[in-house]
Amino acid sequence: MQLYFFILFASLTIISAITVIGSRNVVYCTFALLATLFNVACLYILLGAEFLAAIQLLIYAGAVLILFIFTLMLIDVYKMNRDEQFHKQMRWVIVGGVLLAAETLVFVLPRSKFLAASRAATEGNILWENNTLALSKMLFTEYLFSFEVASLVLLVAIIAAVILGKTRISVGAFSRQDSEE
Amino acid sequence: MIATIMKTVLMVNILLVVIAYITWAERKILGRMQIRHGPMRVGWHGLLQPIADGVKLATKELIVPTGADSLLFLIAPVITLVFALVPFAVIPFAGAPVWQITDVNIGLLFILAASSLGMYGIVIGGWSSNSKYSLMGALRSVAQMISYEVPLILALIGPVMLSGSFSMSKMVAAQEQAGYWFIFLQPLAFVVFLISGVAETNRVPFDMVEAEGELVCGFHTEYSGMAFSVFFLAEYANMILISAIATLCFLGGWQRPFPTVGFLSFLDVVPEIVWFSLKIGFFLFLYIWLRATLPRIRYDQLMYLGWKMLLPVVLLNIFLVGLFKFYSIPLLIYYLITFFTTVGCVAWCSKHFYE
Repeated sequence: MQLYFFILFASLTIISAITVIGSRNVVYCTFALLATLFNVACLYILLGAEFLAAIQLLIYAGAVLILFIFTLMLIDVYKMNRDEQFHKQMRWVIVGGVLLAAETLVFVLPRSKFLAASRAATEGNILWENNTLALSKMLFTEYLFSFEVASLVLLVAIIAAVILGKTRISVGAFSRQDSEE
Repeated sequence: MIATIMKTVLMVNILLVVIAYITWAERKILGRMQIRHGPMRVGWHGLLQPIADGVKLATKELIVPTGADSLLFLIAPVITLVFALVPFAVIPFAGAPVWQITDVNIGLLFILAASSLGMYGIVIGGWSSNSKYSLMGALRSVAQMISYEVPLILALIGPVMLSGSFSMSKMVAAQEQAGYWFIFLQPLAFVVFLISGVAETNRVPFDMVEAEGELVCGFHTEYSGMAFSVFFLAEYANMILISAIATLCFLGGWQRPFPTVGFLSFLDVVPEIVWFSLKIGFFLFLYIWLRATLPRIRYDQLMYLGWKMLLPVVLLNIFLVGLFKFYSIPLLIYYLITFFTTVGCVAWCSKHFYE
């Protein structure tokens, strides 16, 4: 049962991920990205990480992607489609992509310890019961310092964004003062 | 497995019938509030009106506008309705496990994640209609929903902190164990949740989305027939969902009023599902009441209210709940503190709102 669901969601993920990079219409690309995020969230649920799945949908699909779409809706998408700007590099992209994939599969993956380590770490350690509780305990005891540092960095980024967004208004205010003088 | 599927089918059908009769109730109540009768002709006091409306909408022609993206245009209402109905999978309607399709331990997060995906239906519909009114309506609705999702989620942090779980049935169990509903501990969060819930569902006075004086009908201007009615169903399903979350998180779910007071125990003869429905019905009446009473607020006022009033107020609520949890303040003193902070916040907001 679980295997069939995995095959379903994994193939949907791959199809929608190919659509993200393959489609000419930018809005279609964004919605395909939404489908990719959704299917990856389904895969997380199959792995027993339901908190991660919910957060992924809430943050990436519910907030980040909607801002992409916000911008895209104001662009003349059909005019972008008429411009032939995606064509020329296609064959080189395919050659480069195949080479990189071959390198990863043949040289990198067999020598890396990543697969074995992740298998050892997850087998028997999945908390089917309540991984929200376990995650928050880890986050607020063992990794408290890095958690606080991350939130501080985010706070700095928010302040920077506000200042960048506000600059034009304050410049306008100054110039108005100048003209009055 | 089969029982779950049957429960799901049954619940979707019951929900759709209930939604049909909410539209009837809305027209009746609005009519009474404006000193007229409302629908009277179809059936006794217009009771068959929703069925007549349904048949009318189903037999109408579905027009896809010229230049519209027909695939996205037709898929948009479906997305909206699906993600409006999916959250009901984790809503418990009464105490026994039979009354809930499934109890997952991230219930509340699941509801919020699924309903935030419902926004995409509105965006896709507005964009693919190839109409300026639809596009503007969709832009406004997205801006509004993003802004009000923040206080909505933060208001629900309070009940989660008190119950220590995201599961909806454990939330009610925590209120049962504590002996008081969470609305008494955090009236601030309840008020913020109500306001931002009305804004999330794009209802009056926050129906910026379909401000008919300027935007014709907002994102569903170009929709007709069944596609339009699917958007309509989704809006009402979202209203029921917000009412159900408010009931479960703040009003003790399916418990009778004052669950610890002994001499009221004769109220226990009323089944739990009836208490739950009554509480949801109260919130739905509130929605209709607001629609009959309040004028639409201006767009800049809407943003001001969301970011500069509700957000600080709800952060203050989280701080107060944290104090209560951490220092175990006596209940009576805490009641007084929350009462006076609520009065103070409401006074502050109403003083600064029109500036």
